[in-house]
Amino acid sequence: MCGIFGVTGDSSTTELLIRGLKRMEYRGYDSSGICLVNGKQLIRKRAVGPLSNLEPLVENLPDSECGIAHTRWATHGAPTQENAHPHFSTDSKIAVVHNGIIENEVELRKKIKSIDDGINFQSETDSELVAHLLSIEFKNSKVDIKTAKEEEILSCWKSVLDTLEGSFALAVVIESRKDFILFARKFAPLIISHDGERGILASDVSCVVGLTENVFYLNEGDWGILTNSEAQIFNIDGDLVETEPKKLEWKLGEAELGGYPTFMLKEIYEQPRVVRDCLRGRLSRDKIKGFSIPFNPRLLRIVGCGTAYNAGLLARYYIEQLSKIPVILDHAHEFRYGAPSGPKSLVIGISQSGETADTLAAIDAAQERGYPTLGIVNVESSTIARNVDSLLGIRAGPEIGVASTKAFTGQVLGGLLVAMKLGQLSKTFHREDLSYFDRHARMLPTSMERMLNDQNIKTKLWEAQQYFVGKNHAFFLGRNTSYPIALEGALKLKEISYIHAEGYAGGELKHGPLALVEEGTPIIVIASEGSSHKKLLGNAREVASRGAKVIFITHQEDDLAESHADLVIKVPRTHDLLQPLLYNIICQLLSLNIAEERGCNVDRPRNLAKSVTVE
Amino acid sequence: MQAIILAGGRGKRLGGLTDSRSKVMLPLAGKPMLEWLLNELEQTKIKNVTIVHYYAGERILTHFGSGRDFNLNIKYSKQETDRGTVGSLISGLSISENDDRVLILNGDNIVDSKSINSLLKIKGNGLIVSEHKTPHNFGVVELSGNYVKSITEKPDKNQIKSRIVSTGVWLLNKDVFEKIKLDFEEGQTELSTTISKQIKEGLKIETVRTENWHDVDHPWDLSTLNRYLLKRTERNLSKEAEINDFSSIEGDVHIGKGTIIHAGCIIQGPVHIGDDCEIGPLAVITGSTSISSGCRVGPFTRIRSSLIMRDVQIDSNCSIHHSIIGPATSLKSNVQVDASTVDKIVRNTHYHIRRLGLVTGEACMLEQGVICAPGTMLGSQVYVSRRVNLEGEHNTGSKVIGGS
Repeated sequence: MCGIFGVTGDSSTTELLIRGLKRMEYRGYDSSGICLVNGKQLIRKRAVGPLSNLEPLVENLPDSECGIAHTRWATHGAPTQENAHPHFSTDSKIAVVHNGIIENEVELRKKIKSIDDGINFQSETDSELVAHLLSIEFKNSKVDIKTAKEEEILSCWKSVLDTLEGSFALAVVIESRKDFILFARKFAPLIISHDGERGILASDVSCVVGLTENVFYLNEGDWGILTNSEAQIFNIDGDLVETEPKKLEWKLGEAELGGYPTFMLKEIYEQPRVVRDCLRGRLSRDKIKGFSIPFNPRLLRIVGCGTAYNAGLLARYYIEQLSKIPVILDHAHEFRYGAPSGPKSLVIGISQSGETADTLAAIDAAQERGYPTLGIVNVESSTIARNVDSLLGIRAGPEIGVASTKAFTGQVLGGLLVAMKLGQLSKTFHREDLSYFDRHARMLPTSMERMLNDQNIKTKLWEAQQYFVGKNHAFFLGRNTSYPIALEGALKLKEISYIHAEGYAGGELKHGPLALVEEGTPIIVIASEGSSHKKLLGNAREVASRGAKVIFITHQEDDLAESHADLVIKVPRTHDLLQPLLYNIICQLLSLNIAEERGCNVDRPRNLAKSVTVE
Repeated sequence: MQAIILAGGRGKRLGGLTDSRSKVMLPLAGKPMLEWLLNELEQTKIKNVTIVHYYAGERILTHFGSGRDFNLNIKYSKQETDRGTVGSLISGLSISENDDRVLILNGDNIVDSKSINSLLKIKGNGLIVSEHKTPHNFGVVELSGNYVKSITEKPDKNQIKSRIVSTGVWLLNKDVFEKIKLDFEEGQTELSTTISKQIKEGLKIETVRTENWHDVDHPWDLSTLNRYLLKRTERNLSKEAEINDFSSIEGDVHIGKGTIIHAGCIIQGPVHIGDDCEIGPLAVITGSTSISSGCRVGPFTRIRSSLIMRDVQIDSNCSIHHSIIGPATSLKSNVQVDASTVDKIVRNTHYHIRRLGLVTGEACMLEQGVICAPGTMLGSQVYVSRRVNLEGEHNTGSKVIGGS
């Protein structure tokens, strides 16, 4: 969602703020802004649209050693300059940036008006209220902000935080005080770093990579102050938190384009590496190791949203097939507000960022019910990663493209590892099954590399792309383990090309969706394994006979597909369980090509943000 | 000044090995050929590099990124079509207009930093030259003192005037480029041809001689270069490797992190073993062998003087020597490779290879007990069934069924 960033104790503050915003632009790109503290007043610059609109405005700003910045993905109030952060108090002496949603906004607005009728709300945002509340608090406590000691300011800051409900990561600067930034976090991500001279705060790790090597990960409700010499962190009860910084898990190069035109393309091509890294030390010929299953369950529940949900669906097929343990899959938000009952079950939460608000809340809800939890997460320093009983990090590296690609591959492998381990526990997945799987899994990265450089596939993708010219609807069909790929393929296409795309299980076709098929409708059919494959070929016939253009994605050893489709794209043959991952790469590339042909920004699709940290 | 590295070509004569990566990305002694070259460049004053890519370029981007990990600023220029060396150059040039001179190198050659530094000392235009056994495969250079008198690209064998050839490492002034650009527009796509023309018109090119220039054309050249680069291996057993005390590791051996060496293994350097490999128990790996990351070598298997690429699985009791095994290839138990002197004729040139065993492309599968004759060459994804006596050449995707 939104991204916040702050620097103190560095003379090139403006440059650092812009650099930080560039790294975070994927979190929101409706508008952006910065605020610098210099001796006399707060200097604020804001602009609607991409960061490039802000850059010319900050070119010749005076030097400053302290500042905050924000990139916005609108939730409360339209993306206008007035609603862009930072927000000021009425006297323009306090500036705030905020990521999250203040849920008691209405009451707080009333309260502010009742205390001081003179306050003008300058925006429609909930974030602005924090600046006013702090201003009022200073006035009530008779604190002169020019001369106040840190303790006095911190006490006012804590009082304001106590009135806020909802989720927030906040950073505040105060006029004439270029020696500190106030911060707080609750249900929204925020990290802090300090090397004794320069303090930095940021919404996520990827924007401090290269600036610092050690970061503090804050807990829910933590707050404090970042001065020129140190970071003071307090917990929700107001006690000073003594904590050691953690070493950053990522390198700078991983968060850069490095010659690629888009992050999405870069990340698609990183998938062979993701497979190697994700399986490293976990898969061997006779053992699945390197992570623990906290509880040997009779029932599993999987929660996730978007791409992570699709990965969860595939995990469900894997787990049910290999371990014979039933799985209930839920969208994280539906799980949270539903009333899950039944026997004690293991709850698996899947999230790339590990900050997805709904998944985090679902994990919390599960823990409240006493269910053991396992997280399949990319960012291993994230809140979900720290909250779950057992963690399976997918090691995909920073994913910057908003439409998830390599993280899906990692999440699917994570699900597969869990399935095999459960299968071993329930003695339904045997040693020889594992050693056979292992041999093929070792070959998977090379199969991916081969298909990513296959000239024939590139040509076929170009031909397939032509079926979408002038089309606004498309369907993806799959069965069994290819059904989640159909969902993910459709999600990718709609996310980045804005073509209305739906994924269906092949068997569902005649129960409704078939009515939507007309002359020329592009339909992507993704091959499945075993007996369901023939049924899927039948489905391809059904839509073809109604005028659809059928693109069939299958493997090299399938010689039936040609007679059932207008276009067949073939990928290398691999183990049945891994085959869907190769089909998915075709869907990723197809969506990417179509979106670029339509002139869409594939890394920053409209209305979407990378990690959905509000519910 | 910046360097332009031409890395667009596939390396067709390497067969299946270049299916999903170009020649410059083939691993030798633990890293891609291009990385060896960049390591040399890093020891000169050159800091800015433009890599011109075409075939499988994404792999180059993924590996080198912005160049930060290699102490260089790397930019990329993608050629849209295969336009020969001059075409590559022109597209690279549009990025480096601020420079008055550029250094040009071929990504699929390795030349040492000392020779590059000597070249950079030249005031005008320069070229690194080297003596070669088969000069007719290259641009043959005729010298007059230290200066180039003429260059003849791949001359007829009978018309060879010297054994000195161009290494393709040029130092050129901008005005020379302007003329090359004009020639390119008129359809001249070979760099040495257009420079020859300029030499006739009076262009002076000073030469630097090197003995440390290595070129790869055929698979067996990979073995030679691998052996040469392995000499630079220093003994380095990663602390994050798991090495059983009852194994013997002698000489210059590199073992990467996460690698497991089981009991009873004998490893004699120079040997380079990458990360996350599993070797043994009781495997024997000797002399001039590189094993890339993610490989597995089973019990009682013996490997000598070979180049084993990523994710290769070699099961128990195999005997592999003087071989090149492509990535993700699987050799099941009891595969035996026979190596000896091999004679091959490629494009009318006779090659006498001192020792050659098996060469495979990517993702081949050899079942139990396959016996390979010297010089057996496989494309990619070749399947060979049990106990086949394998010989000759087999194309990508073929299945060899037989045996008893």
